[in-house]
Amino acid sequence: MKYLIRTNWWKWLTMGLLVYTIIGALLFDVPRLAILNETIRVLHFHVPMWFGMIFLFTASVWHAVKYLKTGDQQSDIISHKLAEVGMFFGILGLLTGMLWATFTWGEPWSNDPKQNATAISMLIYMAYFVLRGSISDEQVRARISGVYNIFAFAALIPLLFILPRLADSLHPGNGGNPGFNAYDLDSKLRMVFYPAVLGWTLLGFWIATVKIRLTRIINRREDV
Amino acid sequence: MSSTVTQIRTLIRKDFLMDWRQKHPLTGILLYVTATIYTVYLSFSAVITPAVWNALYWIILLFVTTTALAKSFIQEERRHLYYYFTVSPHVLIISKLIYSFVYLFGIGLFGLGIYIVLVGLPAFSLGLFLLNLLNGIIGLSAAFTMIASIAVHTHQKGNLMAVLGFPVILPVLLLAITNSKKIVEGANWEGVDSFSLILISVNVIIVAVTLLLFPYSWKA
Repeated sequence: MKYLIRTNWWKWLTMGLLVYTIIGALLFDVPRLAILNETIRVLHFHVPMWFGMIFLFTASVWHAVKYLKTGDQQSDIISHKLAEVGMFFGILGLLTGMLWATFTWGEPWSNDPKQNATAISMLIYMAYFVLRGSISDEQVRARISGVYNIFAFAALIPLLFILPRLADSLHPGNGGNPGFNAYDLDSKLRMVFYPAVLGWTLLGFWIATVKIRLTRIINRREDV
Repeated sequence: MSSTVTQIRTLIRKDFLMDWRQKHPLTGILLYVTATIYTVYLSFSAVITPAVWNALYWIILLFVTTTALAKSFIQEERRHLYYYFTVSPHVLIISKLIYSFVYLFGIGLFGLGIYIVLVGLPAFSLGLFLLNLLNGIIGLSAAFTMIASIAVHTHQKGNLMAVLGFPVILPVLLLAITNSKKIVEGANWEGVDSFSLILISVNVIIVAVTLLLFPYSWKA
C-alpha cells in the first residue's frame, strides 16, 4: 500500500483499463444466452465489485496484522480506509446485483447463498465501524478494531465455503445454471472481464490512497 | 508446565466460586432463560413443528449467550492490573474459554429442560442432539468470550456484544442449526457427520484465532 501511495504510474493503467472496460463492456459482441440476453454485460460491472471488495478487505486485514505487529499508527489508518472503500464496493456490488436480479430472477432478493454471504460481510464491517466509533482513545481504538478485523475475517472465510453447501446458488455457473465457462464464446467475455477486474480493483485502491492522504492531512493539522 | 495448569485451574475455580457467592448474575441469567422460554411457550404454542422447535431453541440460546458471557471480562476490570503482572494472557484466556463453555453448556441444559417441559419434545435421538449442542456451544462460547474481551473496551458494552458477535457467530450457528434440524427430524449420525466435522473445524479456527489475538486485545 505504501508503494501505491508513493507512485503514480498505476493510475494511468487504471484509467486505460477502465476506458477499455466501459467501451468493451457496452459495445463488444456478447454470447446470446436464454434469460440473460444483453444483461450478461453486467458481468463487467457487477462481478469486479466483489473481486475489488475481497481484495480491499484482505488488504485491510493485512494492515491490521501489520499494526498489531509494529504499532505503527499509519497501518491503522490504511487498514481503516481500505475497509471503508471495500464497504463502498460491496454496496455497489449489492445494488448492481439486485438490479440485475430483478430482471433475470424476477426479484431483487432471493435468499441466494452469495447474497447472504455478502449481507453478512456487510454486517461484519458495519460492526467494525460501530466498534471504531465507540472507542475514544486512539491507541485502544486502533488495537481493538485491528483485533476485531482479523477475528471477523477469520470467521467469514469458513462461511464462504459453508453457505454454498447449504443451498444451490442461482448465480450463473452454479447449481446447473449456465456460466460463461460452458460456452466457447467465453473468450470474448474474458477479454473484457479480466481487465475489468484489475481496473475496478485498482480504482478501489486509488480511492483508498486519496482517503488515506486526506486523513493524514487532517491528523497533521490537528496536531498543529 | 504444572504451574500453568495450576494457574488455569485456580482461575476457573475462582470464576465458579464468584458465581456461587454472588448468586445474582447466575440467577438473573436463569430467570432470563425461563422468562424467554415462557414467552415463546405462550406465543408459539399452537404452531410448533419440529423444525420451528429447533430454530426457536437455538435463537433463545444465542440471545442468552450474548447476555450471559458479556460479564466475563466486565467483572475483571478492577483486577486487570493484578492479572497483568501475575498470569500470562494465554493462561487467562484458556481458563476463560473453559469456564465459558461449562457455564454456557449448563445454562443450555437448564434451558432445554424447561423448554421440553413447557413446549414439548418431538421424537428424536436426544443423545445426538446433545452431542451437536455440545459441538455448537464450543464455538458459541469461544467466539463470544473473544467478543466480550473486545467489547469491554468500548462505551456501550452490552449493546456491542450482539452487534459484533452475531455476524461472527453465523458459521457456527448455521451449521449447528442445520445439523440439529436434521436430528430433530429423525436423522442419525450418518446424516450429520460431514457438517459435524466442518463444525469441529470451524470451532478449531475460532479457538486458534482467539488464542492468537487475545494477548493484543488484553494489553489494550
